[in-house]
Amino acid sequence: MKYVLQPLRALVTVSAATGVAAYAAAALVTVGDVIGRQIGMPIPGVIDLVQLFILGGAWLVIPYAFLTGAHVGVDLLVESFPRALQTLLRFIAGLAAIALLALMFKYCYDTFQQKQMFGDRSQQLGIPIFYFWIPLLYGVALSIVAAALAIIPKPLQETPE
Amino acid sequence: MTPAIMGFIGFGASLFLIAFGFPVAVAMALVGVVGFWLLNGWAGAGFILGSSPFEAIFPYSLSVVPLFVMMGVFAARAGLSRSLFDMVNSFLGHIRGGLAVTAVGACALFGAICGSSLATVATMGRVAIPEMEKHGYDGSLSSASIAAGGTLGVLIPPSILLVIYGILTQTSIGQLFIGAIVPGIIGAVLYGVAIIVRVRMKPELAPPAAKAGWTKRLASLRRVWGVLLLFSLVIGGIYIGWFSPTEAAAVGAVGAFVLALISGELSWSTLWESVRETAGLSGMIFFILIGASLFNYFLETTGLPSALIAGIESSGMGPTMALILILLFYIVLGCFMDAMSMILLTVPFMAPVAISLGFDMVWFGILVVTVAEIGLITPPIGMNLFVVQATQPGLTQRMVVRGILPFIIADIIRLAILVAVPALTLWLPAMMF
Repeated sequence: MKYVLQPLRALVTVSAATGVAAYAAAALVTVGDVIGRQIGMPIPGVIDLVQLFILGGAWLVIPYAFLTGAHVGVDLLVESFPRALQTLLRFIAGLAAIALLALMFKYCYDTFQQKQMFGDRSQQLGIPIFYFWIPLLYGVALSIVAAALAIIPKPLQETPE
Repeated sequence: MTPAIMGFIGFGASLFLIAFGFPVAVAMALVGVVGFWLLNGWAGAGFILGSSPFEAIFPYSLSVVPLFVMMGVFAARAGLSRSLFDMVNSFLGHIRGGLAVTAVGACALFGAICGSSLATVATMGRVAIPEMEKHGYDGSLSSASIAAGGTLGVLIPPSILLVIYGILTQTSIGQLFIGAIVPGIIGAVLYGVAIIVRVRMKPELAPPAAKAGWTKRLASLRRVWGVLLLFSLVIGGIYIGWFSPTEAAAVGAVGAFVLALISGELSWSTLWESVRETAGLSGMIFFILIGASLFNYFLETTGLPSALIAGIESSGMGPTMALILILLFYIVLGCFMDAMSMILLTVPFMAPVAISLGFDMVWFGILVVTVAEIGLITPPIGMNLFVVQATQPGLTQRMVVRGILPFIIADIIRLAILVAVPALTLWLPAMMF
């Protein structure tokens, strides 16, 4: 089992690092534009680029938040329950997240196809809008994997086969 | 059943799911989708599921969120907390309780470049608590000073919570940032007063320390030039009109990275840790924004905000009484929920009420974030109480909670001042640009 799970975990982590690199790119492009404006050389289409980097980056890091359990919750009541009930509640919450993400993927894929069909483009650089949806679909799909990885019990994760 | 009642039930259902361990984002999204489905049919629910994951993240104004998160993470890794603590200590350390006042002051300054309360508490706690321990300070005073001081990071700009409030209510993020400066300073001063009063009443809590000379003071000032420059550039840039908040966030993120590089604290391993922390924090925030977007679609359909406005109007309650009730509601909710979730869950229906009551939305935003701050140090869910405890192995939860009451009183006094004198918040934004 762990030979399957480890590469998936690595994929989620590498995607997250790529997402943060996309944020850094957004920051550098913006700073470049701020400096460029002072010397009469602004970066063309900076808003389109920043939106692409941030949206792409966001959907690359969201699976990591599922994998590491970074999503905020309130444990006060749950922690007063017996351990078995706590595990069951966390498992149900995990399954609900997976179901929600699966539905999200289905309907986002439909919207992606519509955007592709209509050929909408961004305002400044004319980037096809469906390009923005590619990291989004990847991120939703990877979030399903990450949420599933997060609810697999630890002993099962360490089984070699 | 009327849609407005369904809205109330939906709000209650979200709280129920959150109480039973569902992540806040998932609870809000599930209730939003199911509620919208019940009111508008499955096609409508499919539409919001297929658009929210894009629409909730796409706006350009949202770019400030991950960039300020990056700025905060790099600032926390740059070892700036020690220099800030030493600088404030050289000026205030000699008065009785001065090290605790120093810790609050350093937290306020660190919050000015960090924007995250938890990061401020974690970073400053590791520096200041051992120092106070070394000087014989009582554990309850030292830990509570850090837990309370950390809340200033939520309000003092740049603040992630203010960004989220601004996006939800279409209020200028720049004006919110500038409006938060005076309330943040008042908060720091009142915390200082709370410490001094407590130490006057119980001198054994904090033994006196030696006074630093001007040579030491000037030397410590020189070591914090980077922090002062970064804050002046980011917030001053917004105030003067050089940058939009997004541009200021980008400059801040790059600047904090450069400061971390110059400080020599940024090894490959700390860089990797920073990347992971940025990914976890921003991923959590973005998904919660998606959950809030789905929940808001549902709330708008139910007409709950209009029902609340009609209820307040028919009750004959004046704006001040309504505001007090709203703030009490937030204080109680803040005891059980974290600040960001509370704002995302409630602002969509509280903002229309505030507008109908004629409140200035910058002022209302600062008040909401101030009460959210109180929630960070109020048991049983005060996140800062847990974080400060985690920074030092010897600290117990009881010890931290024992020392927190004077700071909660200081917060209530600050809230009362801000409610009574809106000009304290609105004066600086009115002079912007």
